Amino acid sequence: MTIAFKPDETYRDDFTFRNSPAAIRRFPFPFGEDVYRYAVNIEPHVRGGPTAAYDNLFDIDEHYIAECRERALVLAHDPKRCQALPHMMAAQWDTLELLMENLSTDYPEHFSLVRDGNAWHWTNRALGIEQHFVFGDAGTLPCEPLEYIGRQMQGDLTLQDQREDNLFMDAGMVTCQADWSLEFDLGMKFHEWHGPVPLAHEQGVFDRALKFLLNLQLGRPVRRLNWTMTINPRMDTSPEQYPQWGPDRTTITPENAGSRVHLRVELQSLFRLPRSNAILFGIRCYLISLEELATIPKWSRRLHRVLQTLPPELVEYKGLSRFRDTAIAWLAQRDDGAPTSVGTAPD
Amino acid sequence: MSTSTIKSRPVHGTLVPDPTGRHHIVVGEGPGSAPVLRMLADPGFPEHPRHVLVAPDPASGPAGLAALSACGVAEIVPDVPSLLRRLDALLGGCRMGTRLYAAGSESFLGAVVKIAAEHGLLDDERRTEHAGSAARRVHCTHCRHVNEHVTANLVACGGCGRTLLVRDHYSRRLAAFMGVQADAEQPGATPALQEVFP
Repeated sequence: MTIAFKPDETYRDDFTFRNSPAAIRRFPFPFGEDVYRYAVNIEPHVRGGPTAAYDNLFDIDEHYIAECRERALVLAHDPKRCQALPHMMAAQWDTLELLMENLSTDYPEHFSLVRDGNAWHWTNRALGIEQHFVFGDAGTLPCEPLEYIGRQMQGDLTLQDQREDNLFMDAGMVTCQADWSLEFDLGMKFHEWHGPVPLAHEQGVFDRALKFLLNLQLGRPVRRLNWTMTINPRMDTSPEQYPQWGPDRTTITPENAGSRVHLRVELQSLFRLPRSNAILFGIRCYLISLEELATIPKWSRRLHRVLQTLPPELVEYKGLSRFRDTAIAWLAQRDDGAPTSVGTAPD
Repeated sequence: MSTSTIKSRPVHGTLVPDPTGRHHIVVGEGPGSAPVLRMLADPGFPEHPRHVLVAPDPASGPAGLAALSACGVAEIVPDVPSLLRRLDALLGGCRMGTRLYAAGSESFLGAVVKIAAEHGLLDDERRTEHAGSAARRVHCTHCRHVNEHVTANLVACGGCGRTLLVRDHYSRRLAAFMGVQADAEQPGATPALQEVFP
């Protein structure tokens, strides 16, 4: 099926990003109950799930072209949003292969890959890219493999090297992150890069998650959802750009909350890579305004209840303190107290 | 962004000999000479092969190393940058079984651990003990300038001039703590200035 892209949308300045009714219905809503608490909520990353966002291992949607352009803008301003330590070249090629294989298989109208031994021919019709290159020879691509394929993907990518019974974040393409810095975290171990997260360390969440991931098997990827809230449909909420987006948090009123407060959901996927034994971590970011969300009454009811019962540490950590009450008041008008159905799918 | 008990923050211990080592490198800075002396006096610490390098810290100068000099067990290096260059060269030629011991200020230990990591030394092949200043190196997330010798929770960035909040989040690769603009959301609304890393 050909995707109707919306190539002119923006994620900055005039913020023209919007979700079509179809994009709203496929949104990966993260709350299966009316209360949110931390959990190692990892499940097999198999095709199919509560919405169409789970139909493929790497989801491409109507925002693809606009999001790739936003990524290019971020990289032009700050090339260090894509970095790889020297020992990660094998993992970079693993990543390029996995992504090209999946995109060309799942979206043949938009991508194709023809292989003759190591001579590869990649076509990305959505972005108008055609590339002949030699797999394994970085000199035959315009940039390193992770950057090359990362510029053609929605969502961030990080590569974790596995050694010393730990995972090290030794490479990444990170331009649409929820307030963490690749430049700062590059080279860190699992518990180090998760250092700033409150409550979860004490609950043993990271010990269990690391143990699980060290045993991640080839061909058996897993996924989880994470979430926060962002003012305006802004993809780049990095610490680097905090002076630009931080002030937005003080601008929310009862009148503009519906259009400007966005639920930000990350569909996070983890893949064991075949040659390098590294782990690819995909962080696919979805944004939806409260107004858009409220077109699915179950979702606005539930978000209202989740925000009301969120532990104070998480309100602070997720940066919601300045506008949570206004968002709750906006949502309260759309919560009739009716019970919500089990699971995350729209009614 | 808030300052909290963050797990990336380095944790230092007490210098004691590691009997599994086959080649021992000991480095100290200023007040770190006391833990170095204490460990050298440990009967369990082998005399050979070992290297002991100590440099004065800027605050107390060479006088702070008098006790160590008198023992004649350590090589006194003129300053910390020279010591770090020597350490880099020593680790470049080191073999399996090397153990590294470091004592000194927070910044000194950060610099030593960064060099050790660059040479592939594992965590359990090095030991660190904090002695002296707790002042931090602070990496500005916005302009990437590194601010040296930060003793308060806030610092005016030497690169971009923003008032940075010093977080506990620490990068061993950069040997620096993270600094983010303290009043980005509301200009001028900074927390009270506190001397927290003397």
